[in-house]
Amino acid sequence: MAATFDLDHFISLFPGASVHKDGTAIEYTVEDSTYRIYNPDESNDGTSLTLDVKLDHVRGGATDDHVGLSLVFDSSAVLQSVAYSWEAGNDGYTIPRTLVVAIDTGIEVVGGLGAVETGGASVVAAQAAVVIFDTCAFVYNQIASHMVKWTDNGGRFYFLPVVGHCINRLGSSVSA
Amino acid sequence: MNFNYNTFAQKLDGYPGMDVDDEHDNYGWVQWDRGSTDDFNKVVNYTFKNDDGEFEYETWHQETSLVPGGVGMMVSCKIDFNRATGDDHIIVMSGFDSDGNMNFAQASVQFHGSEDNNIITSQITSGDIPQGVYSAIKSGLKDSYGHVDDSTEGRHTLPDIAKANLQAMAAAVSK
Repeated sequence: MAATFDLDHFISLFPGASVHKDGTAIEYTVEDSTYRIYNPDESNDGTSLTLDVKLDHVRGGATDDHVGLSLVFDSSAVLQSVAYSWEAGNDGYTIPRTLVVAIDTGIEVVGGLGAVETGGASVVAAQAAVVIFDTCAFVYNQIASHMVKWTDNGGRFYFLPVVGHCINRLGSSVSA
Repeated sequence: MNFNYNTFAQKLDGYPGMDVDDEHDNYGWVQWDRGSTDDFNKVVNYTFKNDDGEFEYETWHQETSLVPGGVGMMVSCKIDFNRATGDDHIIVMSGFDSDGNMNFAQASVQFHGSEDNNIITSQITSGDIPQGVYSAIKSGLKDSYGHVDDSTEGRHTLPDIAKANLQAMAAAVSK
């Protein structure tokens, strides 16, 4: 049986968010920039759950920056893969769809499964946390590597943490 | 897990050479847009002084999210280096384990203008993590990088600014 996604819980994790686009998206403002997160499209094949999410960095008077995410969770609610694409507004710079297989990131920023078990979490919950953590850090760095010559007022750069927090919050809204 | 914004500001103020503005009110947190009441619109303004001069910065209200099961936390923020010719920015992303200990951090430095390459650090996952980010940024800075009133000294404070912020973030997180 596939894991399930709780949209209301997901939305609640964005502080100060307001509903937009006839209820199909939320927006929240961080610093001096606004970001839009569309409600994920859900699909499952009976064992795995896929969440497809669009994100915008809202730029007044200019074309928005766009990110597309596709996350796949197994039946235990453990993240299996993330695919992302990035399209910068106006200048047309794009990062084509890139697939990250979660268990292959090899970062283990949390120091392995034992470190999070001290939090009293079950083994599966701890594993889910480790994978989310590692994947967010990996995706952040992978996208950042494209930014060597980018310039803007900071809102485009902060889109990176927005993507990371979004992956994290999606993972926190999926349960077995 | 919790992020204490007042502890952050206090710890930042204690970094050598650092002085937080308006620290007697709300520990230095002020609305960037005086018409806003949104927490994410708050900043801490501060100066960093060294032998080369005194430079101005602001750190924006940090964004936090708990990892699944609440067994860790991700914390990010943007830091502005206020320059007369256009701000530089540091974006910091960090993670904390279930005991509230920092387990990774990474930073990207975006320079105003297009003449200098931005600096993207790798994930620092062991040892003194704030110091690791400091070293990573410092190694990417060149003497020719940027100008503050026709000098390069301002941008050479950026490793200290990232380190001070990460140390303050680490102090602010508790389980």
